[in-house]
Amino acid sequence: MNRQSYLGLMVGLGLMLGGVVRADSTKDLQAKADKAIAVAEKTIADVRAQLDEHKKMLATISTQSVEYKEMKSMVSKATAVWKETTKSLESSKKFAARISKTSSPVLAKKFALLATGSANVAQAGAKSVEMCFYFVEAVAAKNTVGIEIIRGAVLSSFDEIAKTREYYKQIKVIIAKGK
Amino acid sequence: MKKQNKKAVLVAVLLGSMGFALVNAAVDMVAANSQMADIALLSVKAKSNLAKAAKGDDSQAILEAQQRSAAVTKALKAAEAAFAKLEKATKDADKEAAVKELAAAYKAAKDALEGPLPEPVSPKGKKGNAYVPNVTDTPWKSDGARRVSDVAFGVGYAASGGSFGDRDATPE
Repeated sequence: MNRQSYLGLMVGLGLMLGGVVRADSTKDLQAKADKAIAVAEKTIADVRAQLDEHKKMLATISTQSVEYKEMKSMVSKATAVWKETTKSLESSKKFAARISKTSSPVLAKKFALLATGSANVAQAGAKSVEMCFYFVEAVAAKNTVGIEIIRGAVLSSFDEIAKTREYYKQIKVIIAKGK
Repeated sequence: MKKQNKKAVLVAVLLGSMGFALVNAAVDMVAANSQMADIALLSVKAKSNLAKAAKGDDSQAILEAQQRSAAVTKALKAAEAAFAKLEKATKDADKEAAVKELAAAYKAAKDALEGPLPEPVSPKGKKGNAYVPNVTDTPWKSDGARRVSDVAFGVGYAASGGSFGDRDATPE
């Protein structure tokens, strides 16, 4: 084997190995993003399945009670969170679809981070709405201890969702700047 | 392998490593933000578990969920402190230390939520919150016993002319 063909063989081998490493890495990124999306989708589906039952439960609670006013404010916040939740899920699916389509490993990593981050925002939102349902259940059952604990959990979860969203926004900004 | 070929392989490896390092360095802050978002999500999950337990009447399950949620919140605070350090850090060593702290906080949050039951978080130097119910305290064995006690108290209070326990301040 002369020098040129040996070098050619080495380069070919290098490209092949590089391709294998990249393909594996892209596959892992895709799997991670898909898993995050699947979890978010399931949480959202669970919440949707409980919606009618909790609407009925809400109708049984006296509109004159202190908890009813509280629930109204909670439901209004939860509605805003829910809109963001469904939007985030759609975004995460769009980003995930681009992971395996790109030939650049750097871009694939960025799309995966965006897909996973967006799916996590969706999951956090769905969990928070679910917690509002628990509050309705506790009020309907006149579970005073439960009401206190769930109220605290729901209110701090709203703060934490805002944090999740803020960190995700930062990820988008850094990626957009190309850092 | 000939000397020249060895050189070519060495250069290829070197270039590859440089490219890999460049890609990884570029996503440092992205990774940190991503980890912070993950920890915040773990905290939401812990709160959700607590809320789910609280709608039931299993006080042991509520206590466990409260313990886990408090430990995750503690880890989230540690992560926020580490993230603030990372944002301010200018030296590589400080950045590395902050990244390690952040990773430790993430592990602590994950363990608190999914691992064995964490130690209770004691609010050192802080007074207890009167508005947070103590789920282990069951002063009344039944609603009937509570009603009897409430009525007895009401009778005593009314008999005292509504000044049960009220005393004038001592003159000194």
